[in-house]
Amino acid sequence: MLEVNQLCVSYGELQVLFNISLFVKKGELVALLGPNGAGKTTFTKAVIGLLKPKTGSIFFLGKRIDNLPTPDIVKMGVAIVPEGRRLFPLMTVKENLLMGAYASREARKKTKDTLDRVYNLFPRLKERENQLAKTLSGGEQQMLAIGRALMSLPKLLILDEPSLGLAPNLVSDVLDVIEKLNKDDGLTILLIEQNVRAALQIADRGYVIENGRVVLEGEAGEMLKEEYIRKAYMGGA
Amino acid sequence: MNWLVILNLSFRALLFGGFLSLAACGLSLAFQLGFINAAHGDMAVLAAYLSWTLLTIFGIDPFISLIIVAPLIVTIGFALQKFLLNRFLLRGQMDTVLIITFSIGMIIRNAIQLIFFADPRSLAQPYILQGFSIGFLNIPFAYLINFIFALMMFTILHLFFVKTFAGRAFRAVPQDCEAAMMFGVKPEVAYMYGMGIMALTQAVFGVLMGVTYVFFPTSGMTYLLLPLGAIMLAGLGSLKKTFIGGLIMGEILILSGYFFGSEYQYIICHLITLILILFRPEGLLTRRS
Repeated sequence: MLEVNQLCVSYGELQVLFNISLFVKKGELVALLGPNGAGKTTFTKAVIGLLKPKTGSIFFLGKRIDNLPTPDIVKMGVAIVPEGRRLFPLMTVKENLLMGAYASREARKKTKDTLDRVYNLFPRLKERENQLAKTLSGGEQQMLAIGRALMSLPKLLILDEPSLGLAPNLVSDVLDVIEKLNKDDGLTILLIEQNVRAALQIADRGYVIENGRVVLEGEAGEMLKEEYIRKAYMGGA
Repeated sequence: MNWLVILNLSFRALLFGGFLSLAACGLSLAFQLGFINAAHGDMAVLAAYLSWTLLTIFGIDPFISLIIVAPLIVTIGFALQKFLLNRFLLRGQMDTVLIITFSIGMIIRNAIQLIFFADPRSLAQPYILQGFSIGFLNIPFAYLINFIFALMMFTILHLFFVKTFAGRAFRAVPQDCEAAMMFGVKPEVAYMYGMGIMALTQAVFGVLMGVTYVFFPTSGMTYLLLPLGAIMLAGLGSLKKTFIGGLIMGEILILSGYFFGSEYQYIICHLITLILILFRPEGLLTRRS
């Protein structure tokens, strides 16, 4: 569904991503892992069109998207839960969710049904339906950000560090929801995370980025056993 | 201190203030999107002169002329936005936009002066010059109609912003433009909507203003500065605030005319606006963060 070939991205003169290649097949949950500053969010921005690559290409459903503006990419069926949530602070929970449906005519028509599904998934959001987004707690904001992305009825859901800043019990709640969306609802997901173990436990495949390069890739189960990962990210054998 | 007169004037000022807040609408929207349209008042005056032309040459009633004038002004606004302003707005060059709109304003004022000369003009119609009385209150028809028009437009705008996808998208852009883009919103489209609303409200305001008052080619300045004052009084962020700001400004204008004379009323308003800009730009009704 998503195919990235030899992607190189620079901020001005400073190159940040070096020949990144990865793919996500329909129905998969793929994890993109790596430490702070590795280039994960730069990668996300490039996929969603907020950054243009220097060289390389990105294809979604067979169509080239790296030269398209963000709104056009999103209309094709890519939804993102951005790093830091990026909710609309002065709009209510419900209005934030409705904004999620903006991009596609189909999503707009099915707003009522999708809203019900999102509220079923996150009952707390229904309770706070008319509250301003900025008044929500961190965990609730994360739920809202995910709900908003789901409102667009996406074909590919990208989550950029959903566990960031959340208390550990909330982290597992969020990851449970993500796993459910993939295993039960068949949603194709690209999960970008620092929390390596948790991400690999729910993913099908994974990639590890360090300093802008892919240093490891493979089946998630295999990667969990990898010496390299255990030492670097999970505190030893 | 004739209390009867003061009460009457205060009430009239409320009606006028509500009407004035209509002009403040478009300006407030522009502010929230991050730019100032210095030609804001001139757009209204242009509408008034266009209506005057239709009245004088074809005998078309000003209220009817809105059907032609409003779309015309909106089209001019769209063209301006699409071909001139958007490219600078999208690049964040707000100063350039200010200079451009200031120049456009000057061009409009001078063009009007060339074509229509500097004589005062009016769109007044006989049926509008009457008033009626409720108790001790004397209410001119024109003031009431203007107020009702303003309420109608505010209601339509409110419904637009709260109930439609485009309206919500428009609100989302100033809160987080990148996030809005991540959900399919094109900022240039949001700007077009902003200009469209601004042009529409200004066209309606301009024609109604022309019916109620006398206007000159230079009236544009007043209808930029008074709405600016209204916004400074109440702050940005909601139609409600803009409306209240207009009411307050209306009271200030009319009551200072009574107490200090009509030569001073505008100066007093503009001075208050200046003081607010210097010391309380977020508006009196906005909590200091």
